[in-house]
Amino acid sequence: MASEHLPSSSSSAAATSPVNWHRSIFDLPVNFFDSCRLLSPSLTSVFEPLSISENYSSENPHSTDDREEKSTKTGVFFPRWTCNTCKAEFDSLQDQRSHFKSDIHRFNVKLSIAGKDIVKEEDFDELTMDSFKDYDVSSISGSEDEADKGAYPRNDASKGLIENIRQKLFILLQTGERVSVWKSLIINDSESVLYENDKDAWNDNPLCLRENEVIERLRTLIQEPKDITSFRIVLLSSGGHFAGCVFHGNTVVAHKTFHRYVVRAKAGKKQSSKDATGKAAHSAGAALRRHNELALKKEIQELLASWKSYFDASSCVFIHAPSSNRNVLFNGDKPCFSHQFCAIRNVPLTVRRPTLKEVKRIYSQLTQVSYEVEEKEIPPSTKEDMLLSSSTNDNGNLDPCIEELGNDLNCRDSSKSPSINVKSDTISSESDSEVVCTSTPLHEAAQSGDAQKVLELLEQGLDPCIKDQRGRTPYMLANEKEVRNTFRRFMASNLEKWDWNAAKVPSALTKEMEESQAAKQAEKESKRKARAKELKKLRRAREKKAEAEAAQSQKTVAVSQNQATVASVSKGWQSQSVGISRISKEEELKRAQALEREKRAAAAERRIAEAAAAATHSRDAQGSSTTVGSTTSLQSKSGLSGPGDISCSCCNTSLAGKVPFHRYNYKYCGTSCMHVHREILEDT
Amino acid sequence: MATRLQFENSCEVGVFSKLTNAYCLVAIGGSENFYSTFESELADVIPVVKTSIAGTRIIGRLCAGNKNGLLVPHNTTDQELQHLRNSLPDQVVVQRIEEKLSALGNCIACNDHVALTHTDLDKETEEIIADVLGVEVFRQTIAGNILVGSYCAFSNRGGLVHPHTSIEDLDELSTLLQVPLVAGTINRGSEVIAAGMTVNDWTAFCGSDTTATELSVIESVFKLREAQPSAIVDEMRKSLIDTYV
Repeated sequence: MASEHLPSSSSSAAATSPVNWHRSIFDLPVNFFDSCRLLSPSLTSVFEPLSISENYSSENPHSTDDREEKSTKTGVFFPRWTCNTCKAEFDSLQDQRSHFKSDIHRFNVKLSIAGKDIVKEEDFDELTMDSFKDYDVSSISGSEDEADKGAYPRNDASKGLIENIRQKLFILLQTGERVSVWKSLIINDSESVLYENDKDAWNDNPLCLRENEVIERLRTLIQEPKDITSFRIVLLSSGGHFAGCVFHGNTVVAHKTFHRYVVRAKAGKKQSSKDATGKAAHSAGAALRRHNELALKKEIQELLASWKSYFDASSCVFIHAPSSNRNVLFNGDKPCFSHQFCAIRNVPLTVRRPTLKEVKRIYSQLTQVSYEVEEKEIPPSTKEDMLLSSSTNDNGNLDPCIEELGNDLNCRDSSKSPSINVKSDTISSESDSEVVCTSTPLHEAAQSGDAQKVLELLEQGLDPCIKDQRGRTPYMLANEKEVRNTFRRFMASNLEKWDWNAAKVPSALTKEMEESQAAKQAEKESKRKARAKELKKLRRAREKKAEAEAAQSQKTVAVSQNQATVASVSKGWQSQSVGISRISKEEELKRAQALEREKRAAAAERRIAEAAAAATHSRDAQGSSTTVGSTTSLQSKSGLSGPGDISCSCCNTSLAGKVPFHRYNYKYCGTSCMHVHREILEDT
Repeated sequence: MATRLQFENSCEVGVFSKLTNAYCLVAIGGSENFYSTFESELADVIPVVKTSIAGTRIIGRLCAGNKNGLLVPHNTTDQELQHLRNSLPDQVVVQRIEEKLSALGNCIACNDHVALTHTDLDKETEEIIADVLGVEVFRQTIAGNILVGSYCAFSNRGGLVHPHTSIEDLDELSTLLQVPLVAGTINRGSEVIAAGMTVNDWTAFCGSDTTATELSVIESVFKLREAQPSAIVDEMRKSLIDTYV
């Protein structure tokens, strides 16, 4: 393509020549469109500058870059106004100070502290969707930025360009220059333009405009008398923001913006659309948003009613109101713009948050006439080729042609402003690979998960490298493992046949690999089985144990209940203690039971003790306590040393008439006894 | 002149006191020595007020102010606020700020005309600063430090900033603030300038660790040698009064 040198020439022209690259249609001389010719978009090989990026590239980087260079070269300090964080220099202290108060400076400071690269002013504008910058009378932003970013699709370079070409009219002027204007400025949505070259039977369709009609409309537009009022109105409404503006020529006649809190913070969407899903929230926030939605609707309708006179005198109304916002504009009690001569048109541009600034931007974009850079004469043969390729294509329409045009524009655009369009780079690089983008039977088979069919098709020699419309190879579409394995197996057997790298098949699957995998799988399986068996065995053993335990405990309980003598009790203890030593797991439970039984035994002992002689019983008790353990001895002792007979816990001498030494529940005749008894207790 | 002193064995006098051209705040509960040093230097010119803020003694780091006003954090108690209102001159506006960054002294550095602030302060706070203190507010960092209030101290006559501030940043800041600036240290090499000293147009108080060199730098950049409270009046008299009758 003969386009390499063009971008530089275009940008330099934009930078140097004082001629306005974009002019408002109202500033044009009356004879501007005299003897001009309309160009068909399919054959229009023009360079359409993406006007936003054009503006930026022509305004900013040159001057600032130069200055930066200068400032870095000259190491000597002279008084100047700079911002080192933002790498910017200013003409006056006022500028510097206002910069230090600005949001971009703050943003950059934050970025630099976080160790990130700073952003340039023009990028910042894009980034924040001028949410911060609304210092004018427009409603100051109230909702989250992120939510809004999601809501407004970014201007995808290629898509935008193709759309732009479709939405624009290209005109070859008398002077040989090419200009473009937005279609919607002069043509209704329902009308279409009939170009010279398509000679169809559509000629008598009233909605088709002939070339001379279009040009006539353009002429009347620029010859529009300045004194007679004929308005154009732009209404934008989305996400709780509304902006409306009445223009006459380039001047703003009336404007109004509203903002209400209607979009659910973080969650996105309006409250009403959330309610419509059936799950109505009853929070205070929800009530607020519902109320605000109604209030906003009322405000807008009141405004539209009060602008009735403007609507009556307006020639067209541009509207941007996605989804439910349309209802607000059209569902009033009395329709506001039903006026016959006032056409309602959609805004063909990407609309950001509705503010006065945005309305002005939209309007200036809509009404501007942009000069197109002329392409070097494309040899007719290439044109023929393009047409041919399009006719060979199944679709048969102009899409691929336009697509290619878009690509081509794209490449140029990215080369012109490399810093801005990262997206377009990737797109163009993908389009470079020159692969026809169509879906094949192989794609379908892979997607449906039919491994047999895939194998058949591959053996028939279908190319697995072909990408579909969305750039995916058949392998990428395969969502079943078996299908993917089919691809890999085929790759193993036909390694040379295709460029498997391009087919995005990761690696070949050979017989040996499969075998080893199967072996591994089998090994794993057997391991798992063995483990399951072991677990089962363990569980069974545990169950058996528990059963035995339960039986034993029942037996001991029965014994303890039947027998009342100390001896039998102590025997029971012994068997019990054996049980404890055997089963350590249920010790806790058993201990609780044992304590209960001990108490009973102690009670029994006491009864016996009352009957029998004190000396022999105490000896008996001593014996039992040694077998049972310290806890029982404690119990039995306390039981023994009742109020009736007070004796020393160690030497058993009566303490009657003495003041006993107390230690825990024991009573002693003297300290020596206490020490001895303590040692005994500690030993046991 | 610059004075060296200590607060209970701590040299961070800027933490426990706040000095402006219209008033001086001193932490409560310090030894009488600390208070009397301020008193002897300032008492016949500006009020020296003993106070706590939010029940703490680190008043210098919690509040920010100049001759026009005083900003205190949201956790200041009503009693403290009342006490401050009662003690300060009538023309000084005392304002409590609802701001999540409550150590205002660390986040705001100001003289009577300009203020540097932390970048994360709310927009509302910024407006309050501008209104109450009567200053232009700039969001900036000092040598990459976001706590501008800690790492610099400046009066209407000069300023001392973090020692790692680059020459370019120094130039930029001094054009922005319209006062001469010097990068330096306090308290024998401490880089936390505002914690180690407190300064107004005619006097400065530094931690007792401050070396003679540091002191001389401070005296020269803040122009304290020729400065006396009466100097300003004398200067003004020259411009205000044409002739004696």
